[in-house]
Amino acid sequence: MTAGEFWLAVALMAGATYATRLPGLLLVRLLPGFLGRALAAIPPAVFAALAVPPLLVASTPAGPTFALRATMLVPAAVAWLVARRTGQAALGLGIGFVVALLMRLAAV
Amino acid sequence: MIGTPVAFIRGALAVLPLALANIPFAIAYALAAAAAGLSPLEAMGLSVFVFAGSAQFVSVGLIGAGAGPVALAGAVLLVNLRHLLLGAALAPALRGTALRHRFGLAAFLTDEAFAVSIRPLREGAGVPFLAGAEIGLFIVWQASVALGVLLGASWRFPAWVPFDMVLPLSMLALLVAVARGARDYGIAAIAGGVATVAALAGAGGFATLIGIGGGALAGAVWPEGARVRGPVATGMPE
Repeated sequence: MTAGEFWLAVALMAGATYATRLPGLLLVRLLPGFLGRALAAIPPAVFAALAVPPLLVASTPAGPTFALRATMLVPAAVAWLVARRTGQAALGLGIGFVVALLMRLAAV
Repeated sequence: MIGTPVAFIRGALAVLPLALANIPFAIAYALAAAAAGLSPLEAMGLSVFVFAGSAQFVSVGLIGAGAGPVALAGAVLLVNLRHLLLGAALAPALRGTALRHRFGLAAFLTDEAFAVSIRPLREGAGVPFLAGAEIGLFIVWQASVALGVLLGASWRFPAWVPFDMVLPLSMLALLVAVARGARDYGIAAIAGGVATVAALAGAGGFATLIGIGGGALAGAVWPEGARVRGPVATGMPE
């Protein structure tokens, strides 16, 4: 991506963000139920759609391949468990990262 | 922004605990941006102009996967659609607020500012409270991103530092923060599974979008059972 394309993308993304924030503030009626449920489902869907593929898909010269790698899955499982048990998302992130770091160090 | 400095400061103070909790994510965003090849100026510019944490993570992930401007804007639009719900929930409390002020408030509306403002607004705290929460979070977030950008630019990290784990771990942690039960985890499993299959099929930067679409579709048809109240079950903080 060139610098021009990048800043064009930033402008489009800023516009898209604003376009999602303003209409709600101007709303005078409630949204239909199915649309409300779909919109409410987006946050967990977003985070899962971003989290899962990097953990399960490896890039190879032959293209993307399904791969179960302990160095990816164990830190992810630890991060999820810690965040869920403690209710502290940032703590889960931190401990998961430390576990990943230690596993990579052990493999060096 | 709209007068009443005391209410503005109260709003800023109310959002402070959440803003402080977001610091690791802001730093993680900056490091993920560096790992995706963004310069410090680009990472900072994206953060300032887009100012939406999860959308920033999404865009960095997609830039790393080679997505173009239109795909990025489409992804950010999808990710931020939930803001429609936040605004819709706030709208009754903003009755009588000038249109120009609503346009200003829309620029900085976030989950966190919504979460701390919705009740005070309903109890008559006034629009400056919401503005204070929005601007307070903006300042702390951008300062933290700047810190992460400086860290990423000034330190040469060894190859074994697992930067490739920053994005998935951040997303998992945020998933735990937003998921409210088995239904949300079911939707997450569908979205994650669909995105993985799409990635394996060679969808590249669009795999995330396809996964989000799958999750949203599942959410639309999946009844919320006893938690449904009224015509819209937002699942958002009240």
